[in-house]
Amino acid sequence: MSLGLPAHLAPLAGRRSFILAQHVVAITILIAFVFSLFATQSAQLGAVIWPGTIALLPAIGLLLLGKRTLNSGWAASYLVAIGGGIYGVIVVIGSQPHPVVVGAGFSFISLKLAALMVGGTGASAIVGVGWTFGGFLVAELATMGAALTLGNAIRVDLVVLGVAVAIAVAILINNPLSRRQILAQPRVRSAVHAEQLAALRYRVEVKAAALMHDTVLNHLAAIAETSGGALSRELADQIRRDVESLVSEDWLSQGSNGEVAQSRSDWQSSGLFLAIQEGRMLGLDIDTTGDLPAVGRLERAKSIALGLAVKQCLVNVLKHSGTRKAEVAVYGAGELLSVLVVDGGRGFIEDATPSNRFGLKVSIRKRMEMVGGRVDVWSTPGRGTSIMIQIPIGQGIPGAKQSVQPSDPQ
Amino acid sequence: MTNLERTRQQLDPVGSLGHRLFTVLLVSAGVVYAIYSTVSHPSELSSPPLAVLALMWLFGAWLVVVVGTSSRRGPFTRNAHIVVHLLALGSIALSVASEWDLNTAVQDDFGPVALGLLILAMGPYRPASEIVGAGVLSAIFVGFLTLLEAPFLVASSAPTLVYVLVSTAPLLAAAFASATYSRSMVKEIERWREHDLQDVAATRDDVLGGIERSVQQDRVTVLGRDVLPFFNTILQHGSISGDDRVRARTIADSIRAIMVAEADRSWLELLFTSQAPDLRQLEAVVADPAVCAAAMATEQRTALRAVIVAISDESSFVPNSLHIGLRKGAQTCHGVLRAEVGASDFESRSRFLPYVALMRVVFSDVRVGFRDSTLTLEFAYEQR
Repeated sequence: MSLGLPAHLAPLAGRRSFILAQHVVAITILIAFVFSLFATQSAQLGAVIWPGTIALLPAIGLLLLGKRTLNSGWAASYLVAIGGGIYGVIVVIGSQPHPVVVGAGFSFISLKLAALMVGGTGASAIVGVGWTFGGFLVAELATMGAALTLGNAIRVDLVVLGVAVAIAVAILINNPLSRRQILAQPRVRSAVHAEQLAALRYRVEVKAAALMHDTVLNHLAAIAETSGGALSRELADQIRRDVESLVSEDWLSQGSNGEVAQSRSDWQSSGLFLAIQEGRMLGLDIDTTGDLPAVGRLERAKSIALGLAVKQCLVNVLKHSGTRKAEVAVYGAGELLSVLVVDGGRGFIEDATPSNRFGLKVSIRKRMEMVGGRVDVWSTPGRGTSIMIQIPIGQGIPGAKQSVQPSDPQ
Repeated sequence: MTNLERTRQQLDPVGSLGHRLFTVLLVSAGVVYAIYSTVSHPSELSSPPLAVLALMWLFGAWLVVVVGTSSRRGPFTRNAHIVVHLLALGSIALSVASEWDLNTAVQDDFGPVALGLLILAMGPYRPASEIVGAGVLSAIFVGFLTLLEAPFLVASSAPTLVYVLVSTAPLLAAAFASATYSRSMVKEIERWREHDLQDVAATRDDVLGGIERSVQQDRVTVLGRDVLPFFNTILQHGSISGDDRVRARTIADSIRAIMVAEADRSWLELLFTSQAPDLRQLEAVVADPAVCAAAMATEQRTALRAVIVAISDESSFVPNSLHIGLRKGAQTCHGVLRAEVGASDFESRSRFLPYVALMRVVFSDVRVGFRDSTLTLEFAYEQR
């Protein structure tokens, strides 16, 4: 969501954009006038009117540079240049031995309009109005000077005065902000920030839910499914470790800190390596194939998430598939890392999974979505299960640094 | 995601409301000039009925702009922009026909000026590339018309190219200027947004740390009641009894039930919990049986949130009167928001205008009603 411009910046941005538009009008008018001069020159070979174009070059040059120099010095220079241009063009055309047909095709009004488009500085609207009438004065003085030079009568161009007034009105009424708008802007901005916070919180909630499932629910399920008797040493160690982790301060922050999240690790200390090691410790026979070192290209936060997701896949194999054999294959082509976890067990129908089962839904799928990945599941009852996890290797986690929006928050 | 166009109106819907007066005056000036230009040169009219028709077509273009940019309408669309050009070009063609053989000079024809002003008015509402494209195509058409009438112009001793330049330069100048304004405003908005995002990113780790501590605290509180004491008992005894197995299953079921309830709550329902401090514990009835709230894009959630905050901030708002209903259609979701805002209909209309403008940009089919101090806002959006 765009924030829009805050009330204190909107008038200045509007003025600046208006001035740039005025300069574009001026430059288009001047270039069209130059073409008209050349066209007229080519039609009246006896006249010498092309030097009029030279008189306009300084003004055109300044307009081309105007974007970078929106200050009163530039505006004053432009008025001098356009005043000189108007004077030069009128004198060149007016001093021809034979009358040049100007009035029927074009008039000097367009040159005067170019003078009105001076715009001025990006300061207040009143200053802009002042510069516009400054442009009118310069245009009229240049025309009068040319008339005196040529011995013609002097008259004020009321049409140009009318256009100057219209431009002044336009400057004054262009995009004023009402009280309601001024009040609304901070509310919209605050709504954007609140949404960003809500999105961040959602990510943390998903992470917490996934970790909760990985640890507490898995241990409770393991306890419930034992045949009783002594607590195994492995399970006791895992429970002890996870209980300590749950109450420690960095339970949720692991790998989420900005700089740490973007650091990389080698295969031996990657999340996937640890997941496979733990899967083997739990009693699974795991074959690994493919481009394993490619996992080292992942940022730490992605690597941790991938490791935890794969570990959950392996726990699911152990708990639900009825087999103790699994294969983990890694493909690291281009900017996408794919990890395939395959078992030849009893398989399942994903849609038939009860709504209170969170292994695949939260610990695998949501967790990977939070780091920009996607998960595809192919499973047929009696014919095993394949879970493909794909994750972009490129920098940045969606919503982590540049933008803080989850892909699909509820 | 909603596909916002790169226009001031869509990227800054609240701020762009201020353009309306300028837009109306600008396009009205074109119509007034057209009438003046037509009636002040009666000797140049070879067909007065065609001249009247030309003015009517121009009035049609004026109407499209004035109605289309109204704050009660949605964003000004590309189609409306095309219609404006077509009507204005039709008007110019009719005007040329009405002066056929009698026109003395092209520089006092109203067509290029009136269409130029219409093009200038598009700056806040349409993207730069579209404004230039439409403007250049219109200029080519007008130039072609000028070529056709050039032989009949009285002062035909001037080169034809000069006539073409005179009739097309206002259109090109207006198109380039309008596009420059559009692009510049969009860049200013995007620059500000970038700056704001950098601010957010700079404080992200601190904010995230706070959220993580808060979420962790919530979880530890839940776990501290049953799970941690249970695990400690198991670890102390070093064995698992039949009762322990039953208890493990019971605790797991209760945790799953909590997780299912959390997963089923939409962001909209979460708005009215302690997680949304900007809403100050506002109470609302949310009816969303199909969980349509999940289908809203970030921009849509933000706009709806801003409206809800604005309603709750009104001193005349009647507490507990906020109802939000979402239902699933074939391809779209439909929403209705109702709230008693306690003000007169006219007052309410003016108060909520900026937020309605925001809603119109990100939702489709936005309808607003004010009756008996009750604001009703209907909106629709695609299911993602």
